[in-house]
Amino acid sequence: MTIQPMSFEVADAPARDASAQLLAQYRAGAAALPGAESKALRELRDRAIAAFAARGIPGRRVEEWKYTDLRSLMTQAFPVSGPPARIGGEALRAALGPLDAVEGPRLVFVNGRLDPALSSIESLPAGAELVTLAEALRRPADGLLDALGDVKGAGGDVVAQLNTAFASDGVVLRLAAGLHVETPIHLVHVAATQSPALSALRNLVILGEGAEATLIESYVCDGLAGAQINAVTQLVLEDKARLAHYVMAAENTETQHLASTLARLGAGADYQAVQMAVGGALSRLQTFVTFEGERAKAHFGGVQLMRGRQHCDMTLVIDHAAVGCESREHVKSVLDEQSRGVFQAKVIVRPGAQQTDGRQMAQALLLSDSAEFDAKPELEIYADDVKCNHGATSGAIDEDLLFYLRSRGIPADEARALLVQAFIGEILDRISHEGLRQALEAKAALWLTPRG
Amino acid sequence: MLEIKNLHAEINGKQILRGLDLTVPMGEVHAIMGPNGSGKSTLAYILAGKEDYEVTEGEVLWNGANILEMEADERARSGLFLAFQYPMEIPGVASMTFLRTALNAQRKARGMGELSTPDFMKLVREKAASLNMSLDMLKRPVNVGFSGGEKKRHEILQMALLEPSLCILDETDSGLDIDAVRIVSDGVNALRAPDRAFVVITHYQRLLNYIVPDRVHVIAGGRIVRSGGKELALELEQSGYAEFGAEAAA
Repeated sequence: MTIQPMSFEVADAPARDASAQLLAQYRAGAAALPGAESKALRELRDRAIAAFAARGIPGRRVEEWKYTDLRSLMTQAFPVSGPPARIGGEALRAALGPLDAVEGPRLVFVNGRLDPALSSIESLPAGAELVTLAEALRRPADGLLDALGDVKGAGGDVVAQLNTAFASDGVVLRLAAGLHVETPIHLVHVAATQSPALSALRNLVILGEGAEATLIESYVCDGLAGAQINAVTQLVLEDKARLAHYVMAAENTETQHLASTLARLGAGADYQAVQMAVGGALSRLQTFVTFEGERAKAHFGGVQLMRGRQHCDMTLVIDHAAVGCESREHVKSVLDEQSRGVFQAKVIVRPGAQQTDGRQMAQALLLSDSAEFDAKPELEIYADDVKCNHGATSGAIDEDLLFYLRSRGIPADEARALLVQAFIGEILDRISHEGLRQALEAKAALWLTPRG
Repeated sequence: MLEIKNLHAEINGKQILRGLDLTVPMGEVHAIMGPNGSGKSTLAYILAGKEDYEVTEGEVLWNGANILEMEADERARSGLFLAFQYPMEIPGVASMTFLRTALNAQRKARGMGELSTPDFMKLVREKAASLNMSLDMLKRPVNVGFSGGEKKRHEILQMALLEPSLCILDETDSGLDIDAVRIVSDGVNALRAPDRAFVVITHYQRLLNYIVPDRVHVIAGGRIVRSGGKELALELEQSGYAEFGAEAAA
């Protein structure tokens, strides 16, 4: 990696925009970030902010951001993390809603910092080693910084770079080879919006050979004002490891959420992901999967429930760099009013990655004439024995089905809700953890409840 | 009592019903027979409240209330039920969820509480058994993977659960073999009651051997052109619909 010259001038952007604000914040606040005394860590952060500075917040002229013009959507940057915020147990339960019922080890972060009083990890079995990122950064173990710095799967994505520069907390979790963790490990982030902040969370989860686990990330708000989240979760699945990874972005409608999941899969690894976005003014949920070992699987299901002027973008890059791997991406978007849904999926099949099997499907249910759905599939294939396809559909609610339900006395709103639930059910049904599936169904049902 | 007065209706500017009059008192079963394209299914859909049709003249009174002013779901909650000729498949909606949602919506409208899960299951099991339906079938999404006969039985099951006071059966016998016609007819006959009226729409007389009507009406060109007792059905079976200006059924 070449070290770029430190420069905080962003080409082609006015001085007072969010990019400039972020750079100013970095200059003023980097010394206060956890582990700032480590030279290696400072260098890592400096390189990341320099990479960001060279390009600034991406606008629609950047191909990957064509449908999500972040430069015009994010015109100001909130203070990174801000002063410590506390919330009570009752507020946490209210913010989580149905997700509160999911049992198991739980770590709760408020405005980017761990809240030990709300967290409990006693039920983690031996062989699962968990430390908070803040703690880990104060005494960086061998390899930690290399692991954090290794975001090449994201192709130099500036949102991930920003996270590397600012990340204040998160978890570093290692599961020993062969360990099966039965209960889901739940990472919760609450944006306490009475003090608006940009929270940067960074998680690194490493599953040893043959390890199995379920990881849930929930993002919610306490309060109705805006917040900004930049979360990066790096997943390393060693050979034959299996991870079910569920992400729920359920913030309030003023919040902007940028998330990047980077998954590296070893041979025979199995990665099952479901992401649901409900709420949030802007959600850009990026997933970068790299198949490093042969015959691994990555299945991604996405659900978007949007109304008002909400904007949700699920963007995936699937890099088939090994033989015989299987990838599936299926996104279902329910869009009401003037909301907008985006699905981009790029599948790269490297030379020699024969017998790759990749399929993509994007489906939108438009509940209003002013909603918009954009799907952009991309295939970059450099091998010759490959099965890849993609498809997209969009349409309104089927009036004949609606009439059938109503003809049995089911009120129109309820009938419509049943059909929407049926539409997204195909994705939610993939969640093998029953408690979580019910929680997400309940969350969807709340979204569908006609508001008085 | 159902009273249809001078009903005119069209779809996409094409007139289908042209002054249809029909009265069905409580406790009676009236059969509507007619050639293809005579307006039979249109009548069923208009009664149930399908929005594709435009009523240009006339009224439909159900126990004195003009149902044309009601939404489809309101009509259902006021006691009307249409057994579809082609029941819809609804992928992703579990049959049990569908039945329960419908039943609870109707109970709520009647000022009754929701049924508990065990009570609901017991009720469904009972009604399904009488229609020779397996509960396994109801574990599937609504009508998905059902045979034609299973779909029709599912319609009658819904009718038995919802206990409507006005039952409209649209070509319930179409696509059924003789055993299935018998099962479905037994289900319908079990529901015959003094406080319930039936409109049975059919192209063929066969169904009326099992569901014996009080009155038979012939519909042609969007109007009732002849009415009589159950023997009229037998007469039509002999003579066909030719005398009513229709081509022989294909």
